[in-house]
Amino acid sequence: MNIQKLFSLTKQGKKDLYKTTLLTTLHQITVVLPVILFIMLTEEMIIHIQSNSSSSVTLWQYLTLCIFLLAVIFVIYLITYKQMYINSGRETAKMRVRLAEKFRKLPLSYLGEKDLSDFTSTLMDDVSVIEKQLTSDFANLVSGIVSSGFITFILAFYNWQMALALFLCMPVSLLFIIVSKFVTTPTNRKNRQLKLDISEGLQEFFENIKVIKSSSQKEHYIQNLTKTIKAVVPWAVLYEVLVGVFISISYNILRIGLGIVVLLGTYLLVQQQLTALGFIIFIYIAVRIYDPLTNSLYKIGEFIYALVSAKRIKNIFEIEEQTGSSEVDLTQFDIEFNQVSFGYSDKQVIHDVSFAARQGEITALVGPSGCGKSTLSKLACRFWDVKKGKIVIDGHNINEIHPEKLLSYYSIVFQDVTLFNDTVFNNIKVGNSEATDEEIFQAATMARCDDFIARLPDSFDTVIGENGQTLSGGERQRISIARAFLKKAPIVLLDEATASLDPENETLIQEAISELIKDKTVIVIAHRLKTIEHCDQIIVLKEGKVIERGQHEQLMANDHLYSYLVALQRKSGDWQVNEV
Amino acid sequence: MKNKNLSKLMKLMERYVYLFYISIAISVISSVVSLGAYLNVYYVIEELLTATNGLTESVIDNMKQYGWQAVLYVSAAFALYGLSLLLSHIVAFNTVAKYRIQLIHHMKELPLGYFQGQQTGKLRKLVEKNTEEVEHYIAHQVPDMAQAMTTPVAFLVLIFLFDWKLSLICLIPVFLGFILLHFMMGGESEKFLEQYQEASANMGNDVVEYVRGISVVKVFGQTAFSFKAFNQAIENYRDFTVKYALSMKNAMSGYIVCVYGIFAFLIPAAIIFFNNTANPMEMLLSYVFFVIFTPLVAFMLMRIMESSYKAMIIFHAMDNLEEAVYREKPLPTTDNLKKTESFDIQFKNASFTYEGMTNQAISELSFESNPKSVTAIVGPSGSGKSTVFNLITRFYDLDKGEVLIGGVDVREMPYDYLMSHISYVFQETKLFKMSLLDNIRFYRPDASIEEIERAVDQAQCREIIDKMPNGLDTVFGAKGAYLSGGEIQRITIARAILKDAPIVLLDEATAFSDAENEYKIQKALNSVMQDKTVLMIAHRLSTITHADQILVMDEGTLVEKGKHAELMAQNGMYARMYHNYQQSISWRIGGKR
Repeated sequence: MNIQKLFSLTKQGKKDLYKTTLLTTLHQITVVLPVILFIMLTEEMIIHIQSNSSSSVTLWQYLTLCIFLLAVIFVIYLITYKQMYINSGRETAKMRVRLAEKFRKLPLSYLGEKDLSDFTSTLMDDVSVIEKQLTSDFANLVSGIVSSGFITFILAFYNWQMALALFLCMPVSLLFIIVSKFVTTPTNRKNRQLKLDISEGLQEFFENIKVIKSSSQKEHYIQNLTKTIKAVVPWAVLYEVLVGVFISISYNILRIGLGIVVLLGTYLLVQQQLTALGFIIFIYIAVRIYDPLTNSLYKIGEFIYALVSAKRIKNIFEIEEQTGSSEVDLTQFDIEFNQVSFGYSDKQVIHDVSFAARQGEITALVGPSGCGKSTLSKLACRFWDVKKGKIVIDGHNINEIHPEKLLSYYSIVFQDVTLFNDTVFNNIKVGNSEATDEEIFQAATMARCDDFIARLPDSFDTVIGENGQTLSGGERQRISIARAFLKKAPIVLLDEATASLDPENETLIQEAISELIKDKTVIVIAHRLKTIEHCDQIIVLKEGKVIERGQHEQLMANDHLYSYLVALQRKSGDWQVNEV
Repeated sequence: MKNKNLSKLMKLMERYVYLFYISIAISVISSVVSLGAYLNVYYVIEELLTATNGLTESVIDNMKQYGWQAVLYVSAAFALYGLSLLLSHIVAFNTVAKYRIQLIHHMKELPLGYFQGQQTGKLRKLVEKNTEEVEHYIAHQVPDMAQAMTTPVAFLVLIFLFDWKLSLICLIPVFLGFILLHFMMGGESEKFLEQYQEASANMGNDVVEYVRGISVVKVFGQTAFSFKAFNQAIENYRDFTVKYALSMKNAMSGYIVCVYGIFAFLIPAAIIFFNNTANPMEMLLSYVFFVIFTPLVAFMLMRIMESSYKAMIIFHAMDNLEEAVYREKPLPTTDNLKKTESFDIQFKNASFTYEGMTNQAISELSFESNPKSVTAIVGPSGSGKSTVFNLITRFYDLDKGEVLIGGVDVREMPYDYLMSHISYVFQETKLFKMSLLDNIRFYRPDASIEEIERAVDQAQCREIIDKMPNGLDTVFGAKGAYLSGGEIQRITIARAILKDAPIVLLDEATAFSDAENEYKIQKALNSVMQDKTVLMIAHRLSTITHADQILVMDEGTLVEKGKHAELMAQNGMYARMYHNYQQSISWRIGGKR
């Protein structure tokens, strides 16, 4: 078992974990050391009594040793304690940073909504679970076994039969722990499922609270939820019974060792293979050795639990990063799709698509939802890598260009805008960190941001809150366009950039976009077909295939899918409430 | 220990509280029995040391018997402890179920405004996870604590039976330990715990922001930018936790010394007493007795520490939960509730300010909306449009003025009655994980199949139902039963059609969806709005030119009111908005051709 790989640790982290474990073991041993003093004194007292000596036991010797041992226990624990927290803190901070580093190297396709919340919970919760292991759990697990093993090993030199007796039941006890895992698994699974039901039930309750509250069904719904919440109880109890029974048995078996020690001890005493003092030594040890061992057994469970988190972390580290050369310099920006086919896992969504988006032209992708238009535009910037067919820019297959390098040629404006809890200025600066202040102000002007920024309390220095929640949809969109201006990339992807309505400032957004795309290679996806009427090329997709292409007039004349969609939309555009 | 939490839990236990007492009692008995085990071990040695005639058979037999008795006692103690935990778990599971149910019963009565300001995921976590902590507390901490506390007491009794002087001396480190423990778990530490949780929450926020923003910074090649802030948050958290841990280092090490340092008191004391006693054998036996007993004390002291630390964290979680859920009170109601016959809506000098905001969301708003008419509300974002809806449905109650339906103040109507007469067609709606049939008839479980079929047709859902594996009986969210956003919207419209409430509140979609969906949704909406008192928040000004009344809002006040033609003639804000809108829908990308 390679603990470094298992927990995805750094080399230093592994070393630290070993160190913590070693120190904890040392600590466990030091707290048993006083037994030596106990024995020395016991022996001395026995001798005194047997010899009826009138001299007294010398105090100072013991006193010195006691104080010395106290100091040792204190110091070793202090060192262990510091080691535990400083190192686990350091390593988990590193782990979080390494995970974050890894995230930014992942293909963009991994950065969808669901994955993001998974990433967040891994970064927070899973790492915390590992932190607990690194701090003390793992060290306790190992040190309990090692320290008692070590002590027994030493004792074995004194009397191996008795040492063996101490541990005779250990294997059986372990067996019970392992068997219990198997026996309880089905119940545990059921248990977890029921817990998940509760979780989902609560989530649904909160998500739909408006609907629930505005319905006569409210009490009925709550009743069902109540049932779900209660359903877990008998199963949880059953699981607890099973686990409890096994754990109890296993702990008890371990302690039968005490009886065996007494039994064997008396036998050996009679056989004169063991002195009375020797017997007492083993009794002293036997009352001390099982608690750390029991603790170890207990930590095995926690360890197994932590493995689930460790696995999730490891999975992220193992996601393949995209490769490619950063040395490529593109000078011409036609994007050519050559017989591109693509699918997610098992379902193919793009079938043998070929077209070229020319520099200085606007190419629109249209079609019903699920036709693959978004996927196509994302393939062009390596959200995923095309496996069949190829996408070529300036003679280079984009799979051979490093994703960061490739992205440096793209400006992408999405419908959803992500903003940071920072100033407006810095949010625009995200477009290009090298930009001068002058350039940033200019980009803001070009993106028609001036008027609303001027209205903010601290103008450009206004902090806009978590994900820019203080701004309206249109304002957010314009900031994202300002970023694109700042970047000055030769290729522009517009994915539903104008789908969000904000009647007040929509024209401003449109003006800004018109300016942004001048003389670029532009790929645009728009639901409102009117907006793309003037595009140089319209690619009509259905179920992942190109079924029509050409300019608006041609396509209208075709009288096929495009003209049908246009007609439909014209009807909805004319829709009016209360129409007579 | 804070007892208000415990007493609250005990109230929740109801009849299980007896089981809880039994569990504690058994736990206490278990700890006494485990003392018996140690006592028997001691007897083994006593037998050995006092055997004046050598190891006769009877001595050996006694030793063996004591040895097995020790094992028996240990086993009994463990078995009892197991039993106690089993009972405490039964209590815990039932109590937590009760607790959760109580929470959701409280929450279902809260004004909807409470839910608007919160992420559903956070609320769920609070109700799910924080109660789970409570489960641990009842199941483990309480029996453990009871046991840990009784051991020293029982021990004390035993000790005095042997040698009171030695006992007192052995108790010194135990008391020192308690003092240190008190220091560690005291006020200072609780403050630290709060700060720690805050640091953790801050890191959480920064992590969320980093992860959310990652695709953006990646696209712009600015990963270093957001990374720096993230790194800072991680480092702050690390520094804080380490600082917190290290602030305890001396106290913790001191505690460990107390726990394991009994020997340093026992040994010198034993020597002194041994040197000065007339009966050295008795002294030796007392000494042996204490040597055998000290590990038990150490074990219990460690357990007390762990338990009290965990209890501190758990109570904190419980406090957070209670604070988050119970700070909000259910909507106030009056005694003589009224109903109404007509369903016109009237705002009279209505003013409202959101909690924590300085600006009024709406101020002195007055308007009327008649049955079988459409009133459209337009205005820039933040002008107070959705506040109007929030006040009608009592998501919030207004500060001044009145909202009347059929002349009755909404606050004087039974809430269920009010809600059952309003259909709220939301922009973003989710479906329940139930059959589509149950989803559609959610408001009216008694609807006949004909009515349901009609609603399905009117809401343009027929084609959705047909492609589902089991038609109307398909459970939403099950395998192969996923719907697109537009389709979900249509299902919820079917739900509203079936509800057939006299008042319809409609929030028009701000985003365009694809052509086919768009068309069908509009057709579906026509059916919902038929002959109702309709209030709609309009984003596409072209849709409302025929509305009976258009309210133009800005910064919480009504700036214009009238029909389309009148407002256009006024040439004010509405005319300007309409002009802008016209311009925007005629926009073409690449307009140069």
